Amino acid sequence: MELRLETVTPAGAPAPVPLEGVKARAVLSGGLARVAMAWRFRNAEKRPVEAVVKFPLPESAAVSGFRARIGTREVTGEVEEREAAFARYDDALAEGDGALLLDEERPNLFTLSLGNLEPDACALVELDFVTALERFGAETRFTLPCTITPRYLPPGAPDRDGRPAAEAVTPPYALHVPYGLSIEIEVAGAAGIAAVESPSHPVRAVFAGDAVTVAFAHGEAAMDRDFVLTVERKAAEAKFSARSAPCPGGGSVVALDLSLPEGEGKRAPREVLFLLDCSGSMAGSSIVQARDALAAFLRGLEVGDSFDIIRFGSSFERFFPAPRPYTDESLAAAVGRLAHTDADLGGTEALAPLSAALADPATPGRPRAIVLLTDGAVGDEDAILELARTHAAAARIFTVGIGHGPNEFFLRSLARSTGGACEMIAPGERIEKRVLRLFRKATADPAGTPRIEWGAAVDRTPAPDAVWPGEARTLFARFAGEPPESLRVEWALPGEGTIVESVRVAPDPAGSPIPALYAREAIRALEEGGGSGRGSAQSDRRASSARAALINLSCRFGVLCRETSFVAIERRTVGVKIKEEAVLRRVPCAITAGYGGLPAAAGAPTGAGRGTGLLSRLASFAPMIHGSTVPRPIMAAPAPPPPAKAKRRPKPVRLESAMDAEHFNNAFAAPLEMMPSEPALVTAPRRADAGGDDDLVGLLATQRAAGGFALPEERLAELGLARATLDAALAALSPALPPDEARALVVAAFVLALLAHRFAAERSVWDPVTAKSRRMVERSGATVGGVPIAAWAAGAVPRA
Amino acid sequence: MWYNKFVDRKTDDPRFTIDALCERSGLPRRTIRFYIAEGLLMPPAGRGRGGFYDASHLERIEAILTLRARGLTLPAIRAALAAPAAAAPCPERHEPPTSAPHRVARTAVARYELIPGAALELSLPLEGKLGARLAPLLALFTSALDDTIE
Repeated sequence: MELRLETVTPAGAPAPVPLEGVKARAVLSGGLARVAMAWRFRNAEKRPVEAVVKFPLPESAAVSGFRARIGTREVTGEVEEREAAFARYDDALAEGDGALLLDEERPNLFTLSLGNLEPDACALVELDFVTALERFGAETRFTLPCTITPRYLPPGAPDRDGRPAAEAVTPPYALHVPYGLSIEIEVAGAAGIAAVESPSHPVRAVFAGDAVTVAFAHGEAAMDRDFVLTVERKAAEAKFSARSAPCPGGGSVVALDLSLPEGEGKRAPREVLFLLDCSGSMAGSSIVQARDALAAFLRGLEVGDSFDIIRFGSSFERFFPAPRPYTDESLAAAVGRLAHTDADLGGTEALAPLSAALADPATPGRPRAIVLLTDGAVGDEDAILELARTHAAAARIFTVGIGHGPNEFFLRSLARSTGGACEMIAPGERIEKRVLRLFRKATADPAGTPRIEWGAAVDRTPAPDAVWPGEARTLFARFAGEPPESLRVEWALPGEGTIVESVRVAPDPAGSPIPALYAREAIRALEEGGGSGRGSAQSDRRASSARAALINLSCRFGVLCRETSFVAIERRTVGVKIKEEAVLRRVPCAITAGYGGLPAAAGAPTGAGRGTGLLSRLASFAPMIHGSTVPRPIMAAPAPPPPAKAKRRPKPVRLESAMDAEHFNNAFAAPLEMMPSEPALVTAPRRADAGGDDDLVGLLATQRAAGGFALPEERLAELGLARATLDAALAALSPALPPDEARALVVAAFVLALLAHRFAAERSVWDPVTAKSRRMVERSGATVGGVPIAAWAAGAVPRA
Repeated sequence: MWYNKFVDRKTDDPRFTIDALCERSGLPRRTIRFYIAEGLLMPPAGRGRGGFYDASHLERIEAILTLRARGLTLPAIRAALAAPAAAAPCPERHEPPTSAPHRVARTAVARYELIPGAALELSLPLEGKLGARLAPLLALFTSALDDTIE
């Protein structure tokens, strides 16, 4: 069966897709990414067309420029209140002129409308945005979202102004679309860069002069997964700096950049509630990824912590009736149940389990951390964020973004509003490292709020209340006149004492992104200030004055927000005005790779009209065994005929469908024409270096709750601790200990030395997790044949 | 109803602009355009978007909002409003009785894949009603299919 390329129209008939390609050009420098996105449209029909396309952007992007070239004519967009902008767009279309509209549906989801594109005409639409890069220690991360994971809305979600809530955030989907993405990225400061790589796509990175230029290895890529680029610098830079720029409309803005050195936080007992998303969208590789991440978290807990796991979908269930102390038994019980956990709970209704998790009375002396593992595929973000904000004092929420297109706005907002943190894990990335980074934050207190003497600032963005060692934050303030010459910063860091510094404010060169970034932060403060609650007259008043302030700010700085849109009108001379009504063409988006168990061919190149190409590429992937479970396929893989009749079948899978807004939200199956007729093979995400990584993870998985490693004799022998050596060490051990304890101690010391020798490069992964085993060995003060046990172990490890 | 006074006037069939329609219906322009694009609301009379609306548009909007408040999906509303036999909007989700081939409004279903090529479709209410009894049923069908095929 052929995969049809379809644009959804009211008539339902297939029509050409007016979007030909998307390009992203970016410059990464100074902790910022400045990006120009371009969309190339072409009307291949005989009638005028109104093309509408939805697309994602980084959730903290400051969208500050919008322009288009239609044929030979150029137009530039202006920021206006949303409904007024629509009216101008609409009037222009009625007049027969060309028009463009850019709406913000969510901070990370936008709609671009191009109206009255003449037959055979081409248009190039460009958008500028600037966003801060994610920085941790020496690593910088740039994420360009490319896909809109279908959002689930709970039944009964209210309409917005008479339109179903799903409509704003749901584009038409197709398995395959005829346009792709190309990128051109320039990373500045090549001299200080150790490595540039992408866990999501095959890329080509070329060191040329002072910059590293990055492009896709195969030219264009399918827009079915987010693009992630990580830049590893040779050395981490931990410092405070400040820059200023003039403000539109008068005055100036100062950006104060604070980055903290890496360090160990102070570990304290925690109650950790894990919320595991088991909705249909997580089926396939995502649930496997989430389970692995959760298992990694469990390994890092310590005796003294308590925990529980709540899996959720349209309903939710707890592993234990109440949070249980972390012991070998509870760990084994949790790990056992986790292995059989599947994405079979239907829709993503996070509100109920989150309420339950927040409502539990807290234990004094054991602060609660909630760890949410999900793809974030929810459309009712506002309701959930409102809940989290009102309970911010009860728990910090740490979010782990899973899959090829996690809803970044939801995940980061949730963490921000509760003083938590967020970590996105791209499929194919090393889970352990990212999980442990988040884990250290979840189990240690953050640095408190920095105290800054802003002086005569008329406005400042709120100070973050949770920053951890290794992280960086930028704070902004606006001044009526000239910026101050310096700023005094006082910051109490846990275990480091108080940093007091006077930071000089340097003027930024012309064309500075600082005013746009300030505006974006101020917009966020207004949007996330909890003004979305409906009901009381007071909250309505507050909401409307917040809305007025938002629109004012957005228009003044030319940065988009949820209440404003960019609009550009292309006035045509009377002769060329469009007389016919333009037909609406909603551009389909490629369904997110791996969504609900659909196959995810790694970074497959795109091509127009290659209907069966996708299938033949799929056929060449062998199903991979990931960990100890085979991901359950939507359609059974063609297994070789077994000698005996195999009775066991994959469990029937409930599909959460992907279609246009209304159909999707009612959760019925995808129409048959979207599914390939040949059985599709599901691939598990490929790990960076499968072999070595599995050994390390395997070793860490044997660690006991209180320290020590449960390894059988054969495995120890494989690792290099022969029976004879072990026995000799036990015989020479002092002080004398009961045989079980003695064995545990010797094995623990050996494994720790083995880790240090064989996995020296991955120290940051296993070091924090094995702290409890290390303490066990150190506290014993044991010696083997007169030599301290650690030294003996170092000597016993085989040198390959 | 408040707009009937316009319909009854004999000398004039008043037409109004999109802005007037917005004001009278309480909906923003985006929604009006959306309803037209979705085939729920008739396009205006006259030249494209610049055309004029009348009381029939207001009536139709009220019908759409009423049906929506009752929980009908947009395709169901579209089918209900397009049915010529319906003088008043259909209160239920099933199609109006008529012998001619007609479009069936799709209600929400859950689809369970049993074996490749065979699936079981249930309406959501029925699925909810079956609850825990569904799983053994699915297992039963699956193994019956297995036995029959192999």
